[in-house]
Amino acid sequence: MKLRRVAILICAMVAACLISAGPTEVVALQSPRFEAIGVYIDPHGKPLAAYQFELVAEQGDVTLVGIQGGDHPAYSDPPYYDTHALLADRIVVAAFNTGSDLPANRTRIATLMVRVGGNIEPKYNARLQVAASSDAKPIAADISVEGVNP
Amino acid sequence: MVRIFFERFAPLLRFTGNAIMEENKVPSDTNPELPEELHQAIVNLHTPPIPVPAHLDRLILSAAHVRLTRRKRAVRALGWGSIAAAAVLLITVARFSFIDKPSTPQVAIVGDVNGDGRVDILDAFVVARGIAHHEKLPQTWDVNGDGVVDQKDVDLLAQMAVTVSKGPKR
Amino acid sequence: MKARKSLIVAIPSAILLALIPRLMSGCATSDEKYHNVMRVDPRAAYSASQTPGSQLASPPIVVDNQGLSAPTTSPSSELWVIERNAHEEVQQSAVPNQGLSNQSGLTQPQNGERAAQITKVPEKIPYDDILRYPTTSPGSSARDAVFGTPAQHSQQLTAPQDIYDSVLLPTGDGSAGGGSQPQSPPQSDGAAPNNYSQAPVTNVPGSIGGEARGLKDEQLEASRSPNIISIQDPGCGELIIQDHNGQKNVPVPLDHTDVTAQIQGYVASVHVAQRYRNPFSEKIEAVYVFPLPQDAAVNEFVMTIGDRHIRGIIRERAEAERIYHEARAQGYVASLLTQERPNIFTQSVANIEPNKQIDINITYFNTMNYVDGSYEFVFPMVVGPRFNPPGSTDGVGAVGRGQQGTSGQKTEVQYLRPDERSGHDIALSVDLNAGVPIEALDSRNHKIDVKRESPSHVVVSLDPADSIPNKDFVLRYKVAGARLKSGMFVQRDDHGGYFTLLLFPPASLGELPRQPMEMVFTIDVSGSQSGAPLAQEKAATRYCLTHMGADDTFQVVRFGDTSRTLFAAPQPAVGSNVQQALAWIDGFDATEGTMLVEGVHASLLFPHDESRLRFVAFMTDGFIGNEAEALREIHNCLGPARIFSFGVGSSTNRFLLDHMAKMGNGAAAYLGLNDDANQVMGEYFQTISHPALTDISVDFGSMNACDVFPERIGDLFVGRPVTISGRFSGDVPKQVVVHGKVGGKTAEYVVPISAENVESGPPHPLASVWARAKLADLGDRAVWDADNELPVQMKQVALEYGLVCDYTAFVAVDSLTETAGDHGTTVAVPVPVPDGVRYETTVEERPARLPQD
Repeated sequence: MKLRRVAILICAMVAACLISAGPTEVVALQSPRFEAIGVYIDPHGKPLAAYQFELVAEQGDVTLVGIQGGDHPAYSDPPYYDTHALLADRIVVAAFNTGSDLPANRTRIATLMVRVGGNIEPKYNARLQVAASSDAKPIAADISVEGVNP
Repeated sequence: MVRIFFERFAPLLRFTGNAIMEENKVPSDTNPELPEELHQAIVNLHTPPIPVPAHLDRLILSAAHVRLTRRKRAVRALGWGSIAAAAVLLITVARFSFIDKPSTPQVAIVGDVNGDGRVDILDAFVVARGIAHHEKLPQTWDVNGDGVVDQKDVDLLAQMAVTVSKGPKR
Repeated sequence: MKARKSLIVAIPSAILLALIPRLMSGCATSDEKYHNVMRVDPRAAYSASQTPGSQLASPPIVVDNQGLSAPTTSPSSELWVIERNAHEEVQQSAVPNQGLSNQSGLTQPQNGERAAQITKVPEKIPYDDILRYPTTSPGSSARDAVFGTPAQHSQQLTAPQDIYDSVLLPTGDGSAGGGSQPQSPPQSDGAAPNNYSQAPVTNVPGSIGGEARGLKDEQLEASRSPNIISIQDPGCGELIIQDHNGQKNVPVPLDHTDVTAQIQGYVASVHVAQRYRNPFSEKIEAVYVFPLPQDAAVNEFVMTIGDRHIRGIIRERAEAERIYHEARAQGYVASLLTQERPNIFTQSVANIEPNKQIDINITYFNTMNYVDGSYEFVFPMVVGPRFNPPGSTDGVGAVGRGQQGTSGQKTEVQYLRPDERSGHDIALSVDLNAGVPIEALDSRNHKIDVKRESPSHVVVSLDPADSIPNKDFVLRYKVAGARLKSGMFVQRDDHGGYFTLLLFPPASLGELPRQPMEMVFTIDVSGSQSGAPLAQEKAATRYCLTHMGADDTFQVVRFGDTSRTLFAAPQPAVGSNVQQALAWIDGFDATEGTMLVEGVHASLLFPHDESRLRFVAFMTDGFIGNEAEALREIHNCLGPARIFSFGVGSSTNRFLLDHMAKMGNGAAAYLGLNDDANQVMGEYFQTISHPALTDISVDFGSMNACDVFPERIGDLFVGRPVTISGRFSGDVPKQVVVHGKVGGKTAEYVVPISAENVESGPPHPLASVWARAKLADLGDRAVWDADNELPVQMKQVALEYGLVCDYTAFVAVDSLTETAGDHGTTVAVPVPVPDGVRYETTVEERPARLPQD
C-alpha cells in the first residue's frame, strides 16, 4: 500500500518536472572547423636566434592537428614540440637557428593548425619563455597570437 | 596531607555516612537540636591549618626556584643552539649554491648546459652552436651518456625543453 | 476510492509516456557517417554546369560520330551526375545543357547494330551495379543498352579490347543511321561518317576508380556531335597512352618515391618522401597502400605543400581518422597515415587539386638483421597479393585496378594488369657508415651504384634503370673481423636509461656434436608461388632431402587450399624414402589458395619423436591476410618443435615469416629469386646442425634492468644473434651472465661489458628502439592472449614515444588551404604485382554486378 503511494508520488513528480521543463531545445552543435593560429614574436630589432613559448587554450575545445614553421626562412621548418601536448590543453613549442640570417622584427615564427569543436570561441594565451640572440643571451621580446587567414 | 585529611575527616565521613543513612530513614526524632556528637564534628572542621615555619617555607621555595631556573636555562640554551645550527646549515647551503662556476659549466641539473638553473631551448641551442662552430665541447654536455656530444644530444635537449609534463626543469 | 487511486496512477503515467518520444527526438545522436573511400562526387562540375555560360571544371569525355573525342571545354552534353553517399544507393540526375532534351538523342539499335545508348537511367541504382562497359547486343532492352547483358559481363576481363570493342554513335539528328556492321576506326582526317561510327577503345572506360577513358591519340577530335552523351567521371581528363611495346601507361596520383637511408651501427634511419600529384582535371583524394619493414618505427610525418612544411601529429587512430574525415569533408588539404599490419601502411591525402603536388615525408628507423656473418638492410617496395580465407573480412584484398571494394576486405591493394604500368618510380640511396671496414657488399634484387667514401663508409644508390618498385631492395654487407662479439649500447634521457644488448652465441656451440633430427618440410603451393618461386622451393627442398643425416627422419607437407603429407609418419632419411619425396615434390604445381593454418596443423600436430629434435622448415612467401590466426595456431600447436621460416620470392611478407620463426623459437631466412637455393639451405643446415642455447635468461648484475623485451628470449643459434632491449637504472655493469641449456644441460657464459663494447649508439634514440621492441612484444602477445589491456598498453606506449601502431596514426591538416567543394574523388594508387608473381593466379578480377530489375 505504502509502496504504491510512493510510486504514484514519484510518477507525479517526474511528470511535473517534465511538463514544467517546457519545450526541449536541442542545441545544435556547431560543426568542427579548422583554423590556423599564427604565433608572432617581436624581438624589437635584435636578431632572434632561439625561442620557446607556451600556448594555452584557456577556453574552447581545441585540438592540435598540425604544426608549421613561420614566415622567416630561419624558422620555416616545423619547430620542436611536445608530443605529450596532446594529452593536455597546452603546448610548448621551441626552435632555434645557428645561422646568421635571423628575424629582427615582428615575425610569425610558428603556425599551429587546430581543430575547433563546440560552440565556445577559443581563447589563447601565449607566454614567451625564452627569446635569445646568437650569443645565447636573453633579449626582450613580445609574443602575440593571431588567426591566420587562408 | 592526605593522611591528615583522612585522619581528620574519617570520623566525619563515617558520621556523615551514618547520618545519611540515618537521614534516609524516616526520622522518628523531631528534636531540632543537633546531637552533641554532630555538633562537635562540625566544630572540628574549622580547625585552622598547621602553620609552616617561615624559614622552612623559604627553604622549600628557594629549592624549587633553583630547580625550575635550571630547566629554563637548558631550554633556552637548546633553543639558541638550534637556531645557531640552522643558521650554520643555511650559510653552508647558500655558500655552495652560489659557488663560483668554473669556466666549463658543470651540469648540476641534467640537461642544464648553460647553467641557468633550468632546461630550455637555450641549452639545445648552446650545444648546437658549439657543434656548428666545431668547438671543443665539454664532456658534461653528453646528455644522453653515449660518450659523444652530437646532434643526438641537441635533439634530446630540445625534447626535454618542450616536455609539458615536467615543464622547464628547475 | 479504488477508481480514484487508479486515476492517480494513470494520469502521471500517461503524461510520462506522452513525453518520452519528445525527449528521444531531442537527444543528439552521433551517428556520423563517413563517406566510403570510393565515391563519385562531381559536384564541382555539376555546380559549374549550372552557371550560365560557365565552363565545366572538368570537361566530359564526349562521344561523337567521329569516335571518342578529347575532352571539350563547353558543357554541351547531357551529363549524368552520379552522387554517392556511404551505404546509400546512387542517385542520378540528368543535367540538360544548351537545349538538349532530357532524353537521350539515341534510339534503339536497329537490325544487329551495336550501339551505346544512354537512356534516362532510373534512379536509385546501386553503385556496384553500374556497369562500366556499356556495350550492347541488338534487341536488348534499354537497361541492357546501358549496362550490358549478364552474358557480356560473365566474361573474364582479360583485355580491354574484348570488352569494349566499339561504340556506335548517333548522327547529328540523333537518329540511328544506316550501317549495320562495325566499321573501322575513323580516319585521321576527321571525316565524319553520316551514320553510326565505331571507334575501338584501347582501354577500359572511366570507372569509378578514377581511371581515364581509353583513347588513341589519332582518335582525338575537338568537335562533337550535338547529341553528345557522356558520363561525368572525375579524373577522366587524363588519357591512357599505349607505347610501342604495348604497355599502357596508367595515370596515377603518385609520381615518385625517394628513399634515403642512413645506417650507423645496427640501426638504420630512413626517410621516405612520396610525391603525390593530381594528373586529373578534378580534385582527388589519393590513397596508397604500401609496405615498410615490419620492425619500422615511424616517428616523423611531415606534409609539404609548396614551400610550407606541416608536421603531423600522432593521435589515437580513431581520433586521427575522425579529424582527417572532417577536414576532407570541408575541403582542407589533409593527410593520414595508418598502420594496417606492422609492415603495411595506408597513406591518404585529401583534396589534391588538379596539377597540384603534395609531398609526404615519413621517417622511420629499424634495426638490421645480422645473419651468418652479414648485415642485411631491407626496403620493401610492394605489398604482395594476399590470400584471404573464405568468410574473412579483416584481411588484405588483392583486386584489379579500378575494382575497389570488390574483395570485401578491410584493406585492399589494387594491382596493375600485366600490360599496364604507372609512371610511379622509386629512387633509393643508402649511406652506410659501418665504423669498421666493409669487406663485401651486394644487392640481391637490384642493380646498384656503389661509391666508396672510405673503407668503412660507402654510399649505395639504386640504378635508375632499375627503378620499378616491384621487389624488395635487399642490401647485404660483411664487415671486417673474424667474429663479432656481444656488446651493449646504452643511452639515457629524462625517462631514464635504455640499453640494447646484442648477444652472439658462444663459439663453443659450434663445436658440439649434431643431434638426430626430425625434419618437416612444409611447402606452399598456392597461386602466388607459381613459376619461379615454386622452382626455388623445390630446389631448396631437394637440397635438404639429399643432405640429411643417417639418423634423421623426415616428413614432407604441401599446403594450398588444404594440406597433404607424404607419409603417415616421419620416415628415415634413407634412399627410397628420399627418392619418393623427390618425385612427389617434382610434381607440385602452384594454383591453389594459401591456407597456412592447414599447413601449420599438418606440420605440428602429429606425435613427436622424443629422441629427436623436430625442425619444421616452412617455405612460403607469406601472402596471406590472416597472419594473426596463423601465428596463434603456431603458438598453440608448437610443442617442442622449432620453426624455421623461409621466405621465397622477391617481395615476401617478412612480418609473418619473422614472427613465425620468433613464435616457433627458430629463425627466418629468405630465398630470393636470384639467390642460390643450395647456398641458402646449406647455411640453414649449418645453423640447425649445431645445438642452440635454449631457455635463455640474462643476469645483468649491478644494472637494475627492467621492462626487458622480448620477454621470452628466443634460442641462440650459431650465426644468429639475439637482440634484447630494456630500461635500466644504476651503472652499466662490467659483465652480464647468460644462462641457458644446451642439449638439456645447464650452461652459462659471461659477456664482458667494457668500454670498447659499450658503443656510442645508433643515430636514433635507444628509447625509441626500446619502445618499438615493447610494441612488437605486446603485439605478439595479443595474437594469442585475449587480454583487453594489451591494446591499451600498446596505445599508451605508442603515444608516449610518438610511434605509429595499430592504435595510433599520424594526421596533418593544412588549415590554410581550403579547396572548393567538400571532397574529391578517391583514387587508389595501383601497384604492380611483385616480380615473379603471376597476376592471373593471384589477383581476382571481378566483373561488376548487374542491376536488379
